[in-house]
Amino acid sequence: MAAWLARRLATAALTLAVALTALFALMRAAPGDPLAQLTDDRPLPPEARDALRRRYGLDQPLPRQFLAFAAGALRGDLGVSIQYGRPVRDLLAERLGATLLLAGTALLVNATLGIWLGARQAFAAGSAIDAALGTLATASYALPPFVLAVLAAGLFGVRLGWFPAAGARDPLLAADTGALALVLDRLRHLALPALVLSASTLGGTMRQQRAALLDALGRPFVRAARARGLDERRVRWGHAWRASLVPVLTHFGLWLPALVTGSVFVEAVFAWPGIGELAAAATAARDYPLVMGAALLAGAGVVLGSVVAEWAARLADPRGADAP
Amino acid sequence: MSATPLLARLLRRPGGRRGLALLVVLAVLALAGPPLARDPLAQGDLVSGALRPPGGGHLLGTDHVSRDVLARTLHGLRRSLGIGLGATGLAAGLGLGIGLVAGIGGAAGRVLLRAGDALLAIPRLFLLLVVLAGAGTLSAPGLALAIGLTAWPSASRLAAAEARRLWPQDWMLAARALGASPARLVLVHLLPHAAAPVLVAAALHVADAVVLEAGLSFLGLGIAPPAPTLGGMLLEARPTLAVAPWPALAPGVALVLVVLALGALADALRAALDPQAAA
Amino acid sequence: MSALLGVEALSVAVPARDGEARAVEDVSFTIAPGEFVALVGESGGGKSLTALALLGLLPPPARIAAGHVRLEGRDLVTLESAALRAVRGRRVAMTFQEPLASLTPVLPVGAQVREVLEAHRLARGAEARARAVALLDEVGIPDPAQRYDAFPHQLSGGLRQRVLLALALAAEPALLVADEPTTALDVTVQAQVLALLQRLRRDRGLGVLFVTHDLGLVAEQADRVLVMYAGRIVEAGPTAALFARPAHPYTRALLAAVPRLDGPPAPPVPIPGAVPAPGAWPPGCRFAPRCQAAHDACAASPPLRPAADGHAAACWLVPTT
Repeated sequence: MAAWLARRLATAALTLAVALTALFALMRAAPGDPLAQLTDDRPLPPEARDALRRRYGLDQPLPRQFLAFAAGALRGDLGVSIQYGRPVRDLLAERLGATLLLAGTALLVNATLGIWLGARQAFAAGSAIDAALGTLATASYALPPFVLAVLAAGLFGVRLGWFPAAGARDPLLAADTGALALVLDRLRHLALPALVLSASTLGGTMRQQRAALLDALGRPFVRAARARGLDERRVRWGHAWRASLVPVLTHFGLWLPALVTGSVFVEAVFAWPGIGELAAAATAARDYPLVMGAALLAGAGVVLGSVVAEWAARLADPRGADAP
Repeated sequence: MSATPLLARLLRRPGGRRGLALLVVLAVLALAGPPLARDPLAQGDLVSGALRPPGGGHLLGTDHVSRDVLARTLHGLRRSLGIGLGATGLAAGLGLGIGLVAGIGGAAGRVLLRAGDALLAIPRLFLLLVVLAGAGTLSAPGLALAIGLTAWPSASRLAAAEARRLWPQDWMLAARALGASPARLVLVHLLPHAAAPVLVAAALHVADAVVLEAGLSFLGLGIAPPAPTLGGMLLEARPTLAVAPWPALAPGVALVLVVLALGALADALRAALDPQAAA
Repeated sequence: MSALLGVEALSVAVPARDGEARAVEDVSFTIAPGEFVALVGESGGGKSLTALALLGLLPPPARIAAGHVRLEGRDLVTLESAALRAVRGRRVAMTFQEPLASLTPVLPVGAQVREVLEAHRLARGAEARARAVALLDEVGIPDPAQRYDAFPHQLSGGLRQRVLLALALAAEPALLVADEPTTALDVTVQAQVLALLQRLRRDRGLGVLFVTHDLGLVAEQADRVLVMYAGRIVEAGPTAALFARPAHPYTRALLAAVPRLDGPPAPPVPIPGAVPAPGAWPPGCRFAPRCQAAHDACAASPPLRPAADGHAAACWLVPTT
């Protein structure tokens, strides 16, 4: 297992290196002048322009620019944001916690409620409950996250006023507020974004769990377990569900890009101070070092997350763990 | 595998019928709607004409600057579907080409395949953000190009897997032994098989691309206003959502219908193309 | 001797083209404690459905349409599910074809054995573990303490079949239904598993219903043989008599299809055709279309009638005693 993990991490590093190259190429292939935003599209005196180009390394030949970018990224130096004039790394670090809180909550809801609902469907396959939950799953899949976010913000945030519809904390909270009140305030702000992100990703998990469990329930070992006189709960959860876990864990690995994408929209709608909201705003401001940094961070998160998911799937399936 | 039996097999499935019917309705709306509808940019009286509820001269009401919601939705739908189809066509073509070459052992294809795998690691929205950060706004064809260029890796993966599976099989070896040229082998023997999973993925990808485009315009990126886009309409309708939901509901419903139609179609396609499920 | 198992007029209905068909019809037999009874026939003849019906494990929508399954005097057909669960594993156990598919792939085999002990409240904790190891040992698994933690895919085919037996015997049932327990095994392992079954039967007084398509296997093992064709029992009797003087043409055909090591070398004769699907069964004698001795009387269904040597056959050609 340790050898596998080492090998898998090496592949992940290679993947990220190629992704870094691709990002750089993509950036440079895009039409438009990277300095356009900085200069407000006004013509600058040539010397001022040259100075700017030198400052951002744009006077160097492309291969050298790439090497500088790659070497920086390896050291964790992602350049300086044009918009804020501060290191991209610091800006991302400030926002990472909020994104992890939001995405982590959605992941938790999927891993519990999503799995439970999908399993309920499979156990009652063909019933009215199955059909009703299936409709719910289809709705979750068909509603784009930003549509759901706008509707939820309008309904629960503005119209009903149950939860705050923007931000991650109450700006009017006194400086000496107690820790408990701070946590509660954070949770109140988390409620709507987490609800929307969970709801828009839940359908996929439910479908995956339902299909995997239906497959497992049809296998001979389930009947064999019943023949031993085990109670139905034990047969369903201890044997069938336990065996259906591997495809579900694999699904979680493949699903991470959708989670990250969804969180960009949800953060943007609810002004949640995370990486996604930062990246969307930075794109509008054409702050390309910041956007590149955010994309790289998103990629690293997805790659690492899928290694973890694969690792968990191998732990859950002794057959996979014995394979090389 | 000719087109007629596939269509017939699709129509035999209720999901396929529903998906196709919905898709035809959407396509007719997107094609015939815009010329028949009002001018999507024309503004009426800004005070009395803004945020009029559905009915009267405006079937779906008017937006915050008194433009016709129906006209804007139809134009937005047409643009979205155009971008979705264009991007998917590009991605499927590139993906099939690269995947097949890689699958039969072409070195260039294999390198591109590896690069594509790496590209898949970064969520596509972020790839597009990088492009847009460099380019500012994009025209509709430019956006289709960008979405298509970031989408081929998943198609090439499917095509390569199919090619790798089929290339060493006996009938393929026989064709090779008979001296068929590599180009002929790929075009006549591999392509029809590799195209099946790519076709299913393509149906899903059109929906994906439509949602992605709408998402970008919702973030205020992509196609510049005042051109009508489904995402842009949603963004503009947000502040007045509590008093006038229709400018937001119309593009929202259009998006949901696109996703539902293509999802049903993809499910039916998958079932119809599955040689195991002879129904 | 009172019967351990008494199956009376059991019928199993399965969905067919037009409504339902009886895939098992009017099947009756008994098994005494410690008796080894073989149920033989080609695949598709209803053997496995009969076996599953005994434990109430028919896959829906297949169901018991009529009849009784009396185990130690209790009718399992009318038992409600909790009571039936208490009987399964505890009074009647079953092993299945394809041992690998019948073991839960993601749980260690020892834990699966222990689970049976705990489900029937026979042992808990460390004691359950020790008894599970002892059971693995009893069914002839070498290094049982180590193998306790092994997963099914890590074991050989023979060991997997032994694990299935350990699972079946864990709660000390009185009757074992073994569905094709040796089909997936090679010949030497087959012999070992059969020897093990005989030992368990001797040591524990276990009644065995041995379901197989291989008549050759049955000759040395079974006390009695039930021959099943197209959902019906067509011949039943003590093994020696049945092998010496098979009465039903189907039994004769089955025997002719077995390669023989004793006697003059003769090529095995396969039976032409296959068992028709339930619902496509001919009226009258169901074997008639494939029978070389078929005649006009076969248009009517022959009952299972006593014949010579204490066996019974369902064929018009068999003289009654």
